Amino acid sequence: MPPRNLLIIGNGVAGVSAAQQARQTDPDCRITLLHKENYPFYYRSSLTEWITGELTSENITARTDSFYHAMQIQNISGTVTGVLPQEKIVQLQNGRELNYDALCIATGAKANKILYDGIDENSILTYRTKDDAERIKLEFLNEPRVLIVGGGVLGLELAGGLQRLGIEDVAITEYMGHIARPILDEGLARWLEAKIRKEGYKIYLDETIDHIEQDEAIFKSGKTHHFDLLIESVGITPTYPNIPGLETRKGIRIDPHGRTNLENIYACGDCTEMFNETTGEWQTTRIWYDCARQGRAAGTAMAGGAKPIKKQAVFNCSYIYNEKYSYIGEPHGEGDIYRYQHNDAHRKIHLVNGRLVGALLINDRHGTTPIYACVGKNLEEFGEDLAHPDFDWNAISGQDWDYRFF
Amino acid sequence: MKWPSEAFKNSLQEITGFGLENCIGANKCMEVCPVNRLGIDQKELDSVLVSGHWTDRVQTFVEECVQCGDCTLACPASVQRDHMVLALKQMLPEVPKPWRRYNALKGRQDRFWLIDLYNIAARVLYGRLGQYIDKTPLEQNDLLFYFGCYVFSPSKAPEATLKLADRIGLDYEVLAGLKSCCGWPQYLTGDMGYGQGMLQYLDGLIQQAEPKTIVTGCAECYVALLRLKKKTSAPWEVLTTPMWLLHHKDSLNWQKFPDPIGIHDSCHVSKKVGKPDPARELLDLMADRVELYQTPEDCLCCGYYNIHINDTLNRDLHQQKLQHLAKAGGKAMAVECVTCWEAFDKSFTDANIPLLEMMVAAEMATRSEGEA
Repeated sequence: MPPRNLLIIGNGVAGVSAAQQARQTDPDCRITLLHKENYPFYYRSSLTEWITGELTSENITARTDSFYHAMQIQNISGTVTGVLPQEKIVQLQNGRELNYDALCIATGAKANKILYDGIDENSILTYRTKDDAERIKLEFLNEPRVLIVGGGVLGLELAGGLQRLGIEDVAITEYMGHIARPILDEGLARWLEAKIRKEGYKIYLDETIDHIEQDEAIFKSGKTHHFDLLIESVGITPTYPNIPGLETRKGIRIDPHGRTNLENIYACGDCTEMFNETTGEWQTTRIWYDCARQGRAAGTAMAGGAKPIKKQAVFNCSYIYNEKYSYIGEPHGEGDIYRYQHNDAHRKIHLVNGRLVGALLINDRHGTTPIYACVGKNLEEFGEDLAHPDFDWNAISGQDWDYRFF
Repeated sequence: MKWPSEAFKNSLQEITGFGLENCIGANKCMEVCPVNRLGIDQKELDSVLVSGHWTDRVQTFVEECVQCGDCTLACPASVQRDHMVLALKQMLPEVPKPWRRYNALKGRQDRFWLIDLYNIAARVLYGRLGQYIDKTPLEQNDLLFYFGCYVFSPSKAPEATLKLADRIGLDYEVLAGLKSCCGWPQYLTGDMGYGQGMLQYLDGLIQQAEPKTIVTGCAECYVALLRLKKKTSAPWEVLTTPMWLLHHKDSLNWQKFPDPIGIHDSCHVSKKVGKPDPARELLDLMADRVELYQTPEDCLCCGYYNIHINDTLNRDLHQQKLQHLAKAGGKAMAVECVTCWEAFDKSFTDANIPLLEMMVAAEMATRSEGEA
């Protein structure tokens, strides 16, 4: 029997995870990774460090060349113009056609862009891809006055990078009442806002830009702000090829195996949405870790195996501005909240009916992994001790997760 | 107590899988690594972890990793990079020769007969310590000094520790010798199952003494005992030698060394366990202390294990350390861990800078007049 021919569109974390897992599931299959971007798989989360020069292009490339060779993953570049599910063919812009036995769509998402009167669309930079980062990096050579639209995680991450780079004139505008949603609650957002302002950056809250007059942003409130460079970080929208019969809403709808409604077609990553049993809603995927997990599930399924995604709490660890954070489950909301704070270290543990539903750790992140493992456990008896950095989460989780005691 | 090596292996696989999916490519791990002389970045490690296809660079790096844990501390994504390198150690295509020599006898239950032969000579050559070498059975005592295989340490830390205990007037038992190795050498070489087995054997020996307190001057042994305590819910407490001696500081007369002394932090005690203060408090009793770094977390690792694998790498680390010491104005350096002492010894001797193991220093600082 000839080896199965697996085609994956997209070489981000979801697509490469799918390829890796497909290889581990079926050592004999043929795997082709098709990508539109001019770069091999890179760490999108480290683009800010690439802009600032803290990381090189080599550093942010996520796999070595020998990896693809060892895993027998063929990388080809191309833009998809059509998919014919009945014939199992993918059509490329250059006229080439690729056959497949199983297809996985991991085409990701594109950055949203809000347009304003008074400024050319092309003068508004977005921040999502390495191409975006290249443009931004070039602009920074002129030490511009920067206005970042969007005080979410990515906008703040960029602001943190600018701070490390020494760019002095930076402002962030956020249409909601505080920055850093959904990571920080209002109290912690105020702490971070104060920190950012102390470092000399401006923050406009409850503000949206009405229009632009030359180098001046005019907000709806009437306030104004001068800038040279406008960078937007205002969310992403899933992107995917137009496939006849494929069920989509915001994104491609998948099940925990990464299966779509079409036979032999799978999807994973930012281009998808999955049903959330807890909320009863379909949700898009926005987190690197979840994209990797989906990729793993889809890669396994398309290679003939089964490793569906299990229902798991949200997990995200990175930087918010220049502060390290671990965001686990649902740290905010009704229930019992326990907090610990020491200087710039903040720890917040959230219980509902005695069960751990989430945690938020900032700067002091001891116990991140065992806390994640403990989501769902009844921890009522421990009360406020839960928030303390010395609390023994390993003992509760029943595993040696803590790096301190392997 | 069940410690199947499979369970540890599975735990390691889970940690590794989690790390692979969470890594965001910040590369902080490899930037802070004290032994990353080849400039490896984390994608090279991850590429090998996933594909199983080794490169010479990654193989060398994995062999030289000393499991200091700085990588995990530095990671913004909570990836336990040290555990992932441990998983790679387990995957190495062959056991490097220096490891085989290093692990030739320590804790080797299949070579106890050879250790017995070695001990015949050791008991004669090690003077007063000789009576404790692989002593069996141990006598019950509330205070147990655990020297393990560092009873043979050229630092003279075990002798100094016992002298201090005698000076204070304490009664104690001693657990020492190659048979009672904590298993750290096996962990470091990726042989987790055997290392676990050694720790189980150690538990059996400790139970003979039924101690309330176990004291050790080796950071790796300290962490191993903490692990043992957690695993078995043992009733005893475990202290480093500085922690122990601080309890008795008022029973001794302290004299100060004339010159300022810099402090070196053990990766395991200061960074992993998070207890840098006892060693500082003890040093303050006998010297003007100078700090070499802004925080203990910034302290440069001694590179211990590479005295067996790549001595040149360690020499480079130690030259940096000597420069840091000189810049801080220290005329000598104190260490609380005997393996740190053993790592630094040759470099500091060559540089003619005194290197003080904490118990040895404390013994000198509390001698009465005329006492040798």
